[in-house]
Amino acid sequence: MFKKEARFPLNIQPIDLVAGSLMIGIGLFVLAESITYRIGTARSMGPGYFPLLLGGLLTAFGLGILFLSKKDGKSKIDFIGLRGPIAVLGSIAAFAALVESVGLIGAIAAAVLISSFADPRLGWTRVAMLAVVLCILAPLLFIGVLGIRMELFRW
Amino acid sequence: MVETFTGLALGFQVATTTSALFYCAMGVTIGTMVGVLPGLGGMATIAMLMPISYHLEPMSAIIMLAGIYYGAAYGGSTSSILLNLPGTASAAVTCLDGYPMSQQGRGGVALVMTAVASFIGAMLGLVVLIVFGPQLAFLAFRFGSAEYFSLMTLGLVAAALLTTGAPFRGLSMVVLGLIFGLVGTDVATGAQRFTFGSIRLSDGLNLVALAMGLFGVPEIVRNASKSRAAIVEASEISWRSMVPSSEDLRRSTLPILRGGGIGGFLGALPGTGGLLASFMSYAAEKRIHKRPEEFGKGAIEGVAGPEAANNAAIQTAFIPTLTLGIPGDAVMAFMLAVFIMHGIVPGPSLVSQQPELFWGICVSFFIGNLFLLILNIPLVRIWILLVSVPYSILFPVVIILMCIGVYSINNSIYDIYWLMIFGGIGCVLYMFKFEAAPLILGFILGPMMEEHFRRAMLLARGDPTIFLSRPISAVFLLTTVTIISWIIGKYILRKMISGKKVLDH
Repeated sequence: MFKKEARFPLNIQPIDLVAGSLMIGIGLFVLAESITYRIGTARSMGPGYFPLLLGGLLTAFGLGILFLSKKDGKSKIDFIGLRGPIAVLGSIAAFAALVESVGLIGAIAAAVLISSFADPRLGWTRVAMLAVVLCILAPLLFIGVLGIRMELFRW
Repeated sequence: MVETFTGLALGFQVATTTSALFYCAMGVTIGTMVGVLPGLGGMATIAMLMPISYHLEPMSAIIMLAGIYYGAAYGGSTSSILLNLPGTASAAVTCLDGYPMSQQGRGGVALVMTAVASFIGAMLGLVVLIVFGPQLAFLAFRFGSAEYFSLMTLGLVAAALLTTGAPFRGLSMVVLGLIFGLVGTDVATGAQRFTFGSIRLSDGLNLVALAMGLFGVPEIVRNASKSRAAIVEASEISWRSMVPSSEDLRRSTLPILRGGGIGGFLGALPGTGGLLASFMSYAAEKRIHKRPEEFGKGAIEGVAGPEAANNAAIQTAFIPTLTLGIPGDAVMAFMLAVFIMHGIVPGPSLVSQQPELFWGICVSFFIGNLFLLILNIPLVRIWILLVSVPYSILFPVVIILMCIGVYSINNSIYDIYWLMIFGGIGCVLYMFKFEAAPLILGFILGPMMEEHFRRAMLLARGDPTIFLSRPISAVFLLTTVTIISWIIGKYILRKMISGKKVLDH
């Protein structure tokens, strides 16, 4: 009776639960979507054939993650916090939003500013200096040396 | 043999032009710097510089990017040894014995030995590339779609299982990458797949945005919140402590040769690369050594062998890429993309149709490695200073570089938004302990795999046993199955044993 309990895969670690479910979810989604494309035969494959196989595989592997989950020291989710990702992704979004509307200089300045929120120990003077330096060097490198076409200022 | 000599002569001509030398020097220098800095990997840098290389001539672009690639392999061990932080993933093994050496005051010796080991390893790999490269091209003509498909399967499975710890996570990433690769228009049928009506997606997902988002963003986020390690004093590394003793040299000789062999072999297989090679070399050296308990406490064999393996693998990774058009690992896949961007299609015909390109690259590798050896040893002191650059200054620079780089490919701000999306995905993957590298490999191989699968089945009239009836293909598939059963079997066994341990409590 004990043997069965030790092997029964219900001691799934939370990290594996989410990871496996994520893969299963995506796999099922791919399966569902592939069916709407023409499958064809093995001899003459439609667009849905390969994705169908892949969706099935992904679902199976997701199940594998769940099944092989075990309790060990490495099961903690390394939560990187919200500050970092928001700052970094936000700065990228800001760059995208501004580079064609306000120009490269504005985009660089905004991106540097917003990304600085990722590290709360950064002082404002440092950030400002960094922004200025980058506003000079980046255009020099990309537009001057490499000839990429971007507008510096646009208003 | 004569062909090899004429080829090399041709290569020398091409590789010693001012522009070739310049880009080679620039590439290896950037590569070393990038390798030294923890947080920026060779792959992330190549992904960043790929859009720039678009504006250069193909030869210069390849030489520079390749220089970054193998240059990073030299530099990566520096911060591994001094700070216990791998500069590049493949230098992770060097932390194990390199850092203890540093703590014993022998950091300089470790640094010098890794440079020497890297050089010799690279030379061994280069010899394999030069001697076997063209022959492999001949062999490649006999590769049909079935062989290609099986080879790619082997590569993906190897990448999924031999490089990451959790087998099903690795396999999931590979398959997910394949799926991402299928987004867009199906070339064979013209059907739109996974585009959900969006016209912009019909060209597929943007590789550079994907790579930078999956690798660069999580790295930045992860490191931005961590505090930097203490600065290492440059004055602690004196000239005298940098010179290895004769015993060090004696002990390192065989590990270097063995490592070079392991790396040279593994690098040529698609899906395996420097990281795997260095791990295998470490394991091999540990098993062969008379006193294996010394490993982990500063055994120089544990530093020299893996470094040689790493660099050998990096050179031979170019073999399948150049001669077969199949990337050896994810970084090679980028190189492949660079080739294709410039309208060059690597494959069996590359050596015969564009010999100056192939041999020029080979000779340039030789020059580059030589340059790296001369560069790395005296400049150890400067590299140490570089390691102390606060990440707080570094990461905004990286962000800007990524954004501009992605934008410059299509002058499209939507690519930058994709960078953001993939960045988010990358952070999620990192949190749940998924590795991004197999995904990238899957992404790049996806469309190719499907094409070969289709064609093989078409020619076989729907008979799936074709993959086993053709001998070369069968060999690949059998190897794949062996790896799968070995790894998963080991994993399940371990879990059952640990389950028993829990039971015993």
